[in-house]
Amino acid sequence: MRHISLNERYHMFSEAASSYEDKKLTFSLSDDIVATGFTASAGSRILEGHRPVYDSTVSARMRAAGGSLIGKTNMDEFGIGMFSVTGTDIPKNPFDLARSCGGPCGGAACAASLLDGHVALATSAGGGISVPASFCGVLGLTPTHGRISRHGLIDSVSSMGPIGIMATNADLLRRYLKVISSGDPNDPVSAAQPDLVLGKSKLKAVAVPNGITDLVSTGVREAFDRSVGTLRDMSVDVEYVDIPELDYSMSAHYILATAETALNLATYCGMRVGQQSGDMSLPFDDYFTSFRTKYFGTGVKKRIVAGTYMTLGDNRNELYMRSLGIRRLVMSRYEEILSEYDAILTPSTPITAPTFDEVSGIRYTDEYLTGRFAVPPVFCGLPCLSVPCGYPDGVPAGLQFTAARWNEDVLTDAAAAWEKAFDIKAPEASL
Amino acid sequence: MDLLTVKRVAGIAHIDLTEEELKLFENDLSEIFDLLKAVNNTPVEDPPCFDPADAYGALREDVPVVYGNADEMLKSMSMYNGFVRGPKIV
Repeated sequence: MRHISLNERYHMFSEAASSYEDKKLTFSLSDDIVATGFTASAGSRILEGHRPVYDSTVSARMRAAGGSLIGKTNMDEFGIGMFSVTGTDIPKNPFDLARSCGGPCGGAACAASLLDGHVALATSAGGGISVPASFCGVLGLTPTHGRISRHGLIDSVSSMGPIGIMATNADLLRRYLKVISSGDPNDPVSAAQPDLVLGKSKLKAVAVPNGITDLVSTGVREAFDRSVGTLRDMSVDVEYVDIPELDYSMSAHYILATAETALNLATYCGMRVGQQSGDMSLPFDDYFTSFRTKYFGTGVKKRIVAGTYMTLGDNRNELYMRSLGIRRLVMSRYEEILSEYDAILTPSTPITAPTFDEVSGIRYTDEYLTGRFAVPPVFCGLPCLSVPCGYPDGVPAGLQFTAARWNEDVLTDAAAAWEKAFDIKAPEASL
Repeated sequence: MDLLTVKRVAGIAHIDLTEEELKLFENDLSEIFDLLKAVNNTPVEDPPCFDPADAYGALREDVPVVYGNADEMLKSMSMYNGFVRGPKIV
């Protein structure tokens, strides 16, 4: 089958179904979303071979809507990374095999790009949808935190990380957002949401943060500036505004995301799930340490060490609690701006997809800052949309719209309008 | 973040680091902690936002249910005489 042949070349799936019914909608799940019949390792060796016995809510809803799950997609280990190079396998960019798909859910973007009419569901604790959607040239919708049930998600960051959708057109986003949304008793956060209403809003006015392209590559800047012109041609009012508060997001996000990761990953210790074949004669502290040392990757260990530090002693108030207050401040500013405009417009990423050689040389802080535009909306639980907006040097650049809480409607309208105004290119996939 | 702090915190997190990892973490975490210094000079707003959904207290009814797939779930666990196996405590 085509998805298997493509997988041999592009490595988008960690596990692929051997077959599926013709003419059915195909969908995939990033490897941190569980489904019966498939393993779920969240890209980590510590969960290698883990075979859940229940369906996540999104998987059950997609299957009930007639979807055929054709694979679990490769991702950075536990969603930690910006280039999808730290998981159990490395997906290759559909536009250039020597380049990264972006991360953490790069396999999902790759699958959405290469498979006709495919819906790829993935998670975003800090850019996991906008970054790979941008690098792979597909549409990526990150819904409001709480819009989609996270029941069945192998979670590393509890207060962020909604499940979202990547696909090649706005109609797929709109149709399957409806399918997977609505409250779920198994995820109380999702139960508090208002009804999803689509088809009522229109994108009329967007705000662009002043200086937003100061720290981006030339290709991204040129694509972004052309996009502003295209939006004006579409009769969208584009205004430049000061939003310095967005700059506060990255530091506070790092503190909260690492602290939550350290806490959530404490559960993986060689008992109950995943790897469990250790020396039972060891004292329990040594037993737990031996598993975590052996099976966690370097990036995950680094996050756990950083996150543990964030809540130790005085750091709890000086770093962790302070970051929660910063999040409230940034959310308030977003709310203020989005009461005047339908969306805030930024590039999706400051760069286009780097080559794997370039990735290996990127400094830790610079890797994190690849999410400088994709992180703030997720940090504040807001919905955002990435669409392709140019192809500097033959690889895609992305444009990101961030909307007010629960206003996915304006984003699906923006997606539909954008795909009429901009010529979205498909990669020339070879087998 | 100095080498000793990295080592101490890793110990608390139940992770042993190699010499190479210690040096890498010291370098990378020191670099990113320079970025984090910004939080000290950033204004904050109350109340602290623990979860952007602000869905506190949105809990399902507290009704006991029998989990249908318990036996299947136990099959993936290391078991001994019907108990989950673990390392020795004493």
